[in-house]
Amino acid sequence: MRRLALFLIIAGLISLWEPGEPVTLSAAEVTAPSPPSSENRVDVKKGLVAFVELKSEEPVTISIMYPTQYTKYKTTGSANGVLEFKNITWLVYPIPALLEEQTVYFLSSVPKGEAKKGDILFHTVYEDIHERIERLMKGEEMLRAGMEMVVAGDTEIIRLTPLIPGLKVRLDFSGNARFVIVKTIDLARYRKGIKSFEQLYDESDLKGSEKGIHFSTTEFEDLYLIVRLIVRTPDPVRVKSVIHATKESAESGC
Amino acid sequence: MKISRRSLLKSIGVSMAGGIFINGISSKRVFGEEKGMSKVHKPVLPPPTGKRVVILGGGYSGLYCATTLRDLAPEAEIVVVEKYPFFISGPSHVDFVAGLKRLDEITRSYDPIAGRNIRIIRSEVLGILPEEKRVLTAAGSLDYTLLLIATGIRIADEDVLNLIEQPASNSHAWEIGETIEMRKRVEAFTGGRFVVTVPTAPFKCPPGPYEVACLLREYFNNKKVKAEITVVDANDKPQPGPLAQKWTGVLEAREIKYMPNSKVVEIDAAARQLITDKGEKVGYDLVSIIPPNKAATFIKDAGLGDPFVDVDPATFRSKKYDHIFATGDCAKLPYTKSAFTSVLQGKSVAHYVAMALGIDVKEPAPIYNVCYPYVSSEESMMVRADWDRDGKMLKADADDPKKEYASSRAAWERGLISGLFGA
Repeated sequence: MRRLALFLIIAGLISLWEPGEPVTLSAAEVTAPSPPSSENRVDVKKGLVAFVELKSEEPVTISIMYPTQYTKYKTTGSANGVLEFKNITWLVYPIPALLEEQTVYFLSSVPKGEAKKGDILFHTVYEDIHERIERLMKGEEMLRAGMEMVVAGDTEIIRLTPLIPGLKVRLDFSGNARFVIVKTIDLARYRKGIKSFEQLYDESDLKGSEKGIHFSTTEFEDLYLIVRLIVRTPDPVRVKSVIHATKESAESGC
Repeated sequence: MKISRRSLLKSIGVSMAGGIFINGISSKRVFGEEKGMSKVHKPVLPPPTGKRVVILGGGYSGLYCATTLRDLAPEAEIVVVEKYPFFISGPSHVDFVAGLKRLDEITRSYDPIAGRNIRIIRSEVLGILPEEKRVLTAAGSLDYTLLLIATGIRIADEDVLNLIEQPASNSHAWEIGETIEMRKRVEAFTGGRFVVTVPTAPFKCPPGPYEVACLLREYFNNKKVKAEITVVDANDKPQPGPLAQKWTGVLEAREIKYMPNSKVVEIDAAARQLITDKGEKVGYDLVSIIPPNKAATFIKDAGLGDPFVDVDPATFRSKKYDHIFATGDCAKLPYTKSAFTSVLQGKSVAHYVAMALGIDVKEPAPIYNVCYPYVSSEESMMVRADWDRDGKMLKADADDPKKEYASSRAAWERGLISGLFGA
């Protein structure tokens, strides 16, 4: 009976992953899916890394808070400095606890005025950090982070971070959109109006439309994805990013 | 990519024309007058008659390599190229900014190093020609048998909009000139908003920005200066990772506002505000932006890596050239960019350089890090990390602030300095 329960848990977890997506999380440490909730606390024991996965039919805003931020948020309502992902339909977020236990809160909310359809599925999978590094060093490529979001405005800016050399990044787009990936200084120039989207598009090697792009990071530099809709259609454009760690990224020290 | 002298000189020429910064100093300053170009062709020293090891950078890593190698390879000619006329201990920059130490307490002459039959050449490195085993400096060219690059980090001001155009708007404790300027500004500060910013990891001395915030909180309190202190952090949590939760509590206890996930991308000096990548505006009266940390541009130009030198973490040997090694903050390594690991890396690489010279020496011990970040002038935390020979982190440990760790810190830095210059 226990074996059957474990099998069902693993099967449930794997079913959340996109077809073709390598599932690299250690099956033996899978926890049972949490009941749908707008607030989840994740405790990670020392030596483990937790991969938190959220999936929602409708776009939601996900706020990730450390305990002090969470306490402040609960007492004052201030979400200053909180990591926030908007219009998210899928998220995989790692929480490493190399030295000491970590506690992180995930709060998800539906944009004001919109009805919530379906549940937000929340899963946590734990892996041993050293075992993971060992596998990376042996040449295995392992999922590090992932996100799918709906492009709400005409232009959307997404920070692809933290980036270290040797990561494999895959970006996919579901519809009519052009995109360009820029460094921080060009993001500042774009915001300031010093450079237009067209200029950045002409200058960048990392750009495209609809079909997406695959690339490996070579620097520690933060990158930003600027997405611009070509035409607005009834079906929203979705952007999906999947980042894999490699031996080279493990050697970069992160 | 093969780097020829012609192509390097051409790229330097282009840099001069465009006023591009080389290793933090404008190319015009490096070359001086136009006629200074001819110096590049003249050798600083005659070609080596025996084995010559050239070490670029006279910081902890470069000097510990030089002195260790002196013992391991008595016959080798050792040349250190350094742009500053004297040595200043990096960890004490924060002490100086907070008024805990005077400049003369943390400065040392290079004479004791030179007295150990190690030649010190004061000059700026402009480029490396790996195929020719030659270094180009502002003083002229230098041929080598083996080369160690230990030039530390370069502060990439150009990555923050308007910072190059308005250099007087900022000061920080990550370069000596800036550190002196920051101390002056801290002393002159009469109250208001003090903002310190943190770049995305990796950067030199990861606890440094939070130490500066804590020490200046204490300093301003003692002076009865009302200061609203904010740390604007490009990372999702305080650095280094092992101290993240401890730092969060320390900052909160000192009423230091902490803004993670906020990368400063622009300074508007006229309006006295910083702009983050989210478009948020953060006002200031005194600011300390720590721009992204990168390695000297000649490393990329020489095809040795971008932005850091690509090396084998076990031997510090370049992945591209057998005769080139790199250690410390300028190398792409899994070790913390700290003074302590730089010291151990310097000692360690000396062994591999000696082996490359054909000398039979033992394998050095793997790298580890210990440091004691300040939370006040009287208390420090402790963090330790151990790696295996291949650079894989084996374990890490951290401890809460204690008075005894402040004493440990003082002894720790004294030990690093006296290991080079004596008591």
